[in-house]
Amino acid sequence: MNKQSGVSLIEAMVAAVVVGIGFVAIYGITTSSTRVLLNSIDREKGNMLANMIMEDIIIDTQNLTQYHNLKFISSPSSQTTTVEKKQQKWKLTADQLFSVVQNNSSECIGGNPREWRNCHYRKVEVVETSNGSKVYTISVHLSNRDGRAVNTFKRIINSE
Amino acid sequence: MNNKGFSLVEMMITLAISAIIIGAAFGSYTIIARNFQWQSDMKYMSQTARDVVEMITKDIRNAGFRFESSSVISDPVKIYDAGDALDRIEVIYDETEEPYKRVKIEYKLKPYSSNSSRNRLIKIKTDITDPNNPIPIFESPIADHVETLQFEGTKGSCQEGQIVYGCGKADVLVTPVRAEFGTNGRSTCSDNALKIFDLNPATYWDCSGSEYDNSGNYWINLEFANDVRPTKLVLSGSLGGLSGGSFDLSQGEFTTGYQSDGSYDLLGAIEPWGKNSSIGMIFRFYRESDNGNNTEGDGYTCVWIDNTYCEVGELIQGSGVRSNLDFGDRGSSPNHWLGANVYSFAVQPISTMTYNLEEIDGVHDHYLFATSSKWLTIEISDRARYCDYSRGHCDLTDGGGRFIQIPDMKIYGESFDGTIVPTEIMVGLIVRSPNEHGNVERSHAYSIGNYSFTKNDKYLRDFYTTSATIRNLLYQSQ
Repeated sequence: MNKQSGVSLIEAMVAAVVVGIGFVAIYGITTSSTRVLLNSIDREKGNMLANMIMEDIIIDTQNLTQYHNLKFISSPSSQTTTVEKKQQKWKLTADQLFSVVQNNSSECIGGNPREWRNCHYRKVEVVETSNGSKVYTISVHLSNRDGRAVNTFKRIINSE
Repeated sequence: MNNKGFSLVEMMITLAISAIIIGAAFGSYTIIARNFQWQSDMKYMSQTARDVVEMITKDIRNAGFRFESSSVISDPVKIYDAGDALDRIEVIYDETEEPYKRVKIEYKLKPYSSNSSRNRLIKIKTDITDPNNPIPIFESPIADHVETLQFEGTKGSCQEGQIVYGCGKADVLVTPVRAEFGTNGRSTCSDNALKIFDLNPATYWDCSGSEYDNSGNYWINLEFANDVRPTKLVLSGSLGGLSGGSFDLSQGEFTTGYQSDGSYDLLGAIEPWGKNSSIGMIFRFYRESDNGNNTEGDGYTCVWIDNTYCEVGELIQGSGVRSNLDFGDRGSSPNHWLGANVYSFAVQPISTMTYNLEEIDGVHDHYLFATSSKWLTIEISDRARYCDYSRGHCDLTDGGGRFIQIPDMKIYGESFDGTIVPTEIMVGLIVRSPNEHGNVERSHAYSIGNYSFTKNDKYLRDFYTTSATIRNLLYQSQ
């Protein structure tokens, strides 16, 4: 008969640690999948907001160029013109869509979006595809709720 | 044999270690399962929102679409908003042409009978090809746990109740609620003048026999429920106007002039011969006149794109102000009697005649189409007479008496009924998770459109919004 020595305490603890590492990895996967899910929801909402913005611009073709480089992070100082009213509407809608807390309304400036924290980047660009063509590319840039990634939505419209 | 077995201490250590491992595994499982549940619910909400928004915006974009041959849709989009969470929208469009089918789509929230905080989104589709006999196609829930549904319709910068060009309902049939005959002569026409607007060409307004007296002026005062800017007039020719007979259109269907026997020669009249009973009438549309007619109302508002005809927005009041448009202009020359002139509808052998008021150019004080009011007066400046055009002649010697008969009339215009038909619609919805999550209550606050949402509970919530432009309505109104 062989002598059976059983599992030592050390061996058992090592096994536990190894299994533990496995759990940590699995937990990491759930965390990252949560992040991916939230990102995809942000994209979904961004898409809806970008649609709203583009529809707003398309029905206001006479002010088309005024929307170029328009940011809608903070409220405009006055809300009298059509452009200002829309700017305010987009700001409020974006705030609600991305659950923005009050102190989180600063603008992200420069640098790598991956390093942005607690800031926002929301901008509309209206660029004529070629001079005099009356065909415009509208781009809407929207940062995620954590401010670390920017989604861009584009559409081409004919302003005539 | 030397089997010693485990000692008690060994057993206890083993058990303790296994308990820790199993505990950790169980704990991790709980966390992961909870996370999975949370993710499922988040995904559920976003999928619900995406599907719902896509479906609703698709229907909204179709609103008001109609085939050329079908009738105008006067209310392509209707939003019912009581200021609460449960807005409702109705959209009407033509679905198929062959066979022709017009449908009404309705979206609304319906609370569960057992749990009023849990709402289902219901889509209702109805076949309204025959508006008097709507046929339900389906009514079915398309999404669950939608807590709030909000719609907000806008049309450029139009405000509700504003009487501004382009803000009313364009080109809708407007029917007077009251039509009263009046005269400063001795006629006592008792026929209800609303018959003219009953959309039944077979019935026409008739004042003849002893009721008719050949003296004074005649008019019909119309009152509409709302302000109207008239844009189009469609007259039915079937006042028994033509009883048989026909005209050769290529000959121009007008007269060559008086004949020695007092009749007119009808160039275009060909066999079979017939009779026309409304020749020689002149209709004039007045807003407010200075010619002694008993016009009603208190002026009219200038409603046009620019100040070409009047000062936009100005309320024009008082006597001496008049805006008219002549129809059936007999003119001084008999050549005008039978329809060579665009204003004339007197004897044209066609079933209906359409006058686009906005296209009639010329004299600037004839700018009825640039004004809006609840009141409109039709003045009948000349009475009808028989024209018996047998033998190619029009015998005007009153083949049997004089009378006023007015055919069926349809007035189309921009109607300002206080509501606007939106061209851009915001759709907003709050979706709730089916399950509660965590042990702490979360507060949710959103304000969408005219509704503020606040709740404190353990459910997850998310807010989605977008807007859709109804292009066919938008470009129609420009």
